[in-house]
Amino acid sequence: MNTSRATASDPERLMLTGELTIYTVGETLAQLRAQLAEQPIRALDLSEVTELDGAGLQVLLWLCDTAQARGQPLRVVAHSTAVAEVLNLLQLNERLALTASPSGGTTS
Amino acid sequence: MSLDSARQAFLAEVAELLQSMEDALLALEDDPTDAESLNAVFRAMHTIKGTGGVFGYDAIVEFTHTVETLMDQVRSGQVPLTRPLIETLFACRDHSAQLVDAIVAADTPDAPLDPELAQAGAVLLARLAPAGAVAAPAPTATPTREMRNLPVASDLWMLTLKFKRDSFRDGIDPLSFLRYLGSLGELVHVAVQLDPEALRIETFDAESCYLQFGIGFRGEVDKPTLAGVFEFADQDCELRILEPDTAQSKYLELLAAVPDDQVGWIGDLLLRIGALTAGELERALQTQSSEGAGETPEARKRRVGEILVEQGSIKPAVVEQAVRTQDAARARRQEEAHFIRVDAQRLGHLIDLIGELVTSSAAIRVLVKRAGIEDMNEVVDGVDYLVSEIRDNALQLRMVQIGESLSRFKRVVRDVSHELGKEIDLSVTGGETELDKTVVEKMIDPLTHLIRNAIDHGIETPEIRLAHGKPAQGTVRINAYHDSGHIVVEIADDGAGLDTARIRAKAESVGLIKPDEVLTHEETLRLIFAPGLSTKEQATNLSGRGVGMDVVRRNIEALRGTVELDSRLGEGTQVTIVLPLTLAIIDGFLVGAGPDQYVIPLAQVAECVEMGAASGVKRHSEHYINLRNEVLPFIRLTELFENADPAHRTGHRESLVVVRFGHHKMGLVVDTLLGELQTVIKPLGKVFERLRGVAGATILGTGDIALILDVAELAAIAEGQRSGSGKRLASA
Repeated sequence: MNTSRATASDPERLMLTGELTIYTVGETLAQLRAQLAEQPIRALDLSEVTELDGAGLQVLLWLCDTAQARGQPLRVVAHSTAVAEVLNLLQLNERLALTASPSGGTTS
Repeated sequence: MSLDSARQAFLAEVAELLQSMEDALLALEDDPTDAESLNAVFRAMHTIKGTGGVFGYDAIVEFTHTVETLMDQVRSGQVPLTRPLIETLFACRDHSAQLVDAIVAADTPDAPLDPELAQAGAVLLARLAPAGAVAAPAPTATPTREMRNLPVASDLWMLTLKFKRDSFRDGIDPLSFLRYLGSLGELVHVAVQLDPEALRIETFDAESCYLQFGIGFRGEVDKPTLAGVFEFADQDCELRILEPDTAQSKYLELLAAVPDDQVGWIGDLLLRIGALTAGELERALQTQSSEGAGETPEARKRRVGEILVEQGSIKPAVVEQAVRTQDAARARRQEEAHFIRVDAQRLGHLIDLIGELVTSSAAIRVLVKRAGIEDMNEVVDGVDYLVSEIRDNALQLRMVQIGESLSRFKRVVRDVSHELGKEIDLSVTGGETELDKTVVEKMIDPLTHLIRNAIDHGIETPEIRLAHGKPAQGTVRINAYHDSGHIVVEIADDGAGLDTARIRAKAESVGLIKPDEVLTHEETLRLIFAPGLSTKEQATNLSGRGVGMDVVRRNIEALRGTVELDSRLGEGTQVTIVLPLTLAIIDGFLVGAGPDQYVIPLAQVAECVEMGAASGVKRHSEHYINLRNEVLPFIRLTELFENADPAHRTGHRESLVVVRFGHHKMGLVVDTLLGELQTVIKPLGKVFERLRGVAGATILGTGDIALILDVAELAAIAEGQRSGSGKRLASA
């Protein structure tokens, strides 16, 4: 699991890669906190997330809800099929302001 | 629960609710915008309607429903709360009480209503109706009503899942359950929510589970199957399942059951499932935002649920009443966590038994002493200590705060003052003072009488008050406090005061006193406690029928209490009632006089002095003594009870027991001081009813009987002797 600022041109966009599950959430959260301390996150690219479970989803929701609470709403701009399956199951597309199709492509 | 005990519970509940409604109405009179009180009135009617419905008391349901609806409109601001309306609401409250009484007494719910009562109800409802019609121009009122009765149901299963913190660590992935559920049917609506606690950014722990789900599910399954889906996570999540087409009451119950800060999104889910309509939710939210201005977000969120419930948006279609009772039952359960309702008789029995125990343990002490078993003393002391602790605690059980009973007088004052066209304020202080419930019950009648007297005879009309340079509003003050084992209740008014000249004239005319008798101010005042003396020339329907203060005095004295009166013409009247805290067991001080033994309530004993020996004690005259330059009246018990032991006559040393009651002090001259003991008060039989100066009797450890002295009455006797009327009251 890794988090990284995607491009220099869009520093508020964050890319998550790898497995986002109970095994990695601790580490992911630590990284996210570090990232948040540097700069707000406005967009999430989940196209490289290979696996998402309940714990991973919870981190995503937490990220969105806290961002919302701070008045800096966050959008998921891209996601993988693994993510899409979960989001569809839980009907979260709207809530995460998702506009992309589950292709791995981006809509920037 | 048998039907009968259920009915008892219903009655108790109704009484409580009506009381709170009355309190709220009184508060509303001062501040018609007080939302809390408005809610209380609404809730009272609402709950009575609900529980009344369970028993099938249609008349109650019908009546309270109309009042409830009106209150709903008042709360939403559609109907202004005017003074006449409050007046009508008071009448409605009383009518509800009568309805409940009548119907419960009739025993069968279907019994036809007493036509007079029905008529009264109809009149009240008619008085309410125009108020509702005035507010009707806003069309909003009507749709509300219609929608309320519309059964909106859902064909979906509704599930709520709340996972525990450790779920992830226990190897549970909530998503897998949802996937499995999805394989059984269709997840029509899903709402995911984090526990608000997760939003505290610093403490959020990614490995703890904060997830909650609300699911609207469609599928050909039965409830056990659905529950089975989550069986594996049984320990890790709270699951609620509502069947399709559940009576809406259940949704309501669900809403009521979720934590307050969760109500928002659950309400949202209900909306999507179709358990309530968008309009209803919106209305609830509007009400919320208008009511919730200036509150914390938490408080505002909490409101949504309450408002939805109160508005009846998610109105149970069929079993509304049953659910209301469940709600009430839940509220009661919470109360019961702190309180246990106990039959007063059982408590009484317990206290009787403890009384016997006290006597027995005193007997043991005597026997041990007689047998001279030194080793036993310590054990006996221990038992004695425990018995006195048990006694105190048991008596404590019956102690109630007097305030609850005093608050009912607010209504009395309000009603009576309206009727008489007076402005009267009732102020109650010392409501937290505790005393025995049996005493409270018995003193309510005399108190009511005194307060009515104060209002009727005491406080003048505003015009007269202003003319006398007093504020137009009169004040009746009730004050209660503890004083040396007694409770003192003062009822004071700032009214006209008693006219001693008129009392005297009246007393002379009915032959109570002779025209040439000389009476002090106090003595004249005391005349009004004599039977058949009322100074108000015109008997009103409130007081002044001539059966007044004498009954009050008799009632108070039956409780071993005293009543005193002080009054200044033009300034007001104060009646002071002094009552023992309990009727059963007291700490006593045993003394001997002649061949007999007497008990003086220990709380009233100030000190003991040896008569004659101490230099500070000087006989002043026959009935006074000079104790450290303080003049004390005294009574020699052997003289009072005429039981002096001739053998003792000469040269024995007497002791003086100084007793106090209120601010009075007096001395009792006795032969021997025998020490403290726990005293179980046994009432004396009817034969001794007129015996003054004695409050009761007790059985000593030796099996002998000792009389318990009534200090206040003794003082009165002493006074009588001094003023020379010289009757031998004690032997009357």
